[in-house]
Amino acid sequence: MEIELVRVLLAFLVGYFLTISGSLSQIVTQNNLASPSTLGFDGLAVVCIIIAQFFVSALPYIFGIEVWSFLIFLSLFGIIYIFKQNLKQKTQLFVDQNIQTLILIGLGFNLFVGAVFSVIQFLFMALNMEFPTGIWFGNLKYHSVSYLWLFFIVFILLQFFLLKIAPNLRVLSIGHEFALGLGVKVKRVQAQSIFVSLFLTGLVISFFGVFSFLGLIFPHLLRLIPFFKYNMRNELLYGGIVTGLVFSAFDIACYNFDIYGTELPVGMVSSVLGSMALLTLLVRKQLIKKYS
Amino acid sequence: MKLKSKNIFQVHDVNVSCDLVLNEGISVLTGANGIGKSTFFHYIKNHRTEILPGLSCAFMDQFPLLPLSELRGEDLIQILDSDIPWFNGQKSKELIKEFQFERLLGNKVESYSGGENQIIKFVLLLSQGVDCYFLDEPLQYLDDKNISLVLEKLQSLSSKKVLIIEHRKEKILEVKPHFFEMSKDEGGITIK
Repeated sequence: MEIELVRVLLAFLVGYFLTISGSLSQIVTQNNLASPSTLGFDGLAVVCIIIAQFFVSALPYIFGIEVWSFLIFLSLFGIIYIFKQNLKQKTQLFVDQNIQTLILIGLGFNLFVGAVFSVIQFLFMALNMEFPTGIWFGNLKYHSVSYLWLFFIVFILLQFFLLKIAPNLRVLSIGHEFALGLGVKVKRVQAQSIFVSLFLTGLVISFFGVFSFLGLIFPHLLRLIPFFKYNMRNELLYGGIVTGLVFSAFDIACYNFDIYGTELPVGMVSSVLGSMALLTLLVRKQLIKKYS
Repeated sequence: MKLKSKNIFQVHDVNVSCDLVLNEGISVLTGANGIGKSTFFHYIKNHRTEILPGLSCAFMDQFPLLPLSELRGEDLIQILDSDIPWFNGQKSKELIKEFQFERLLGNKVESYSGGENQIIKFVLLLSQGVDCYFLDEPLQYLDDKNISLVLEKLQSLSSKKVLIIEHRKEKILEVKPHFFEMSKDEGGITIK
């Protein structure tokens, strides 16, 4: 069995970031089904990869496609944020959306991006061009020490953020109105957390591709363990370490399990398992509602 | 607390004006259903720093507690005890014992009935050592025995500023409150 230290560390950080991203989105929306995948963050990041792939790579080389993709992701987020602020002033469209509606919009957006992706794949095939599979299926094949440094810096900054915000988020997880009554600045905490969740998702997808549903399923797996189940602060501060290690082990397994010489993309496997887990969760939720 | 202002917020596009001085003791705001008593409660909650500068306050609203994870009552108290400096976890446990709801500590919060949810929210409110207490319909879902106990506990807060929103005046007469009325006339809705 081969183990590359840089890759293992990056896999750990990818698992860590996706878990935090999922936990943050679930806490601030107060919904167990919220995640970067269901809220459409994944789709937004993939759109950026598509834009980066087709337009930016035509320009003289300045950065790699992953850096361009991430910069486009941040810019798009900024544009959407400004657009949303303007919309808020003129209409109540975004203000009145409940979280279930937002999740449906997010899932619909992801499906749309998936359809666009299929069209692009077909065009590559029709034009007899080699399809750049590397970045589409999430995997850590294209890792480097410079990426590790970038991810490590983000990891350190994230610790400061989490230490500062964890008590507020823990109270927020009890209920938004309840937290507001205790003096938590709910809207500010929500905005900061969603921004961090979006940033982490964009970072991971831009550099390593899509790992669908991990952000949804990792927090749920953690909550099967009593240490995390009864304490959201533990989930935020230590949960990512556990799932990061699990994801590293998962990546090592995929790296060493090739099919006809081709490495099994860990993102593809996680998408299959993650979507199955989402279905299980939805069915379980309905059954609990029916029989309680 | 003194709140004397015109058109402070709107209820169904009708302006609400307020002339309210909240002194130590128990005050009750009454008014017809749908007139905007809870909206006023949320207005205070959202603008507490401007309305109540320098005063600490605690709120008990009508929303049930629905934690994201499967918290039990004792986890809830432990979280608040460690994260909220003015919260007294020991007092919470003593109050729950007085209400004879010790079972709530070991049960999941999401499984609480309407009355149990109301009791735990009331206990969490009383466990906060603050200057002002605001309660929105604290007696709903409660049986007569628990209503008496809640009123008894409210009387012990007479040295603090307490504002209760309750539309059934007769239920709350026992605590000898000062009444404010929220009513609608040609000029809009007034609280006085």
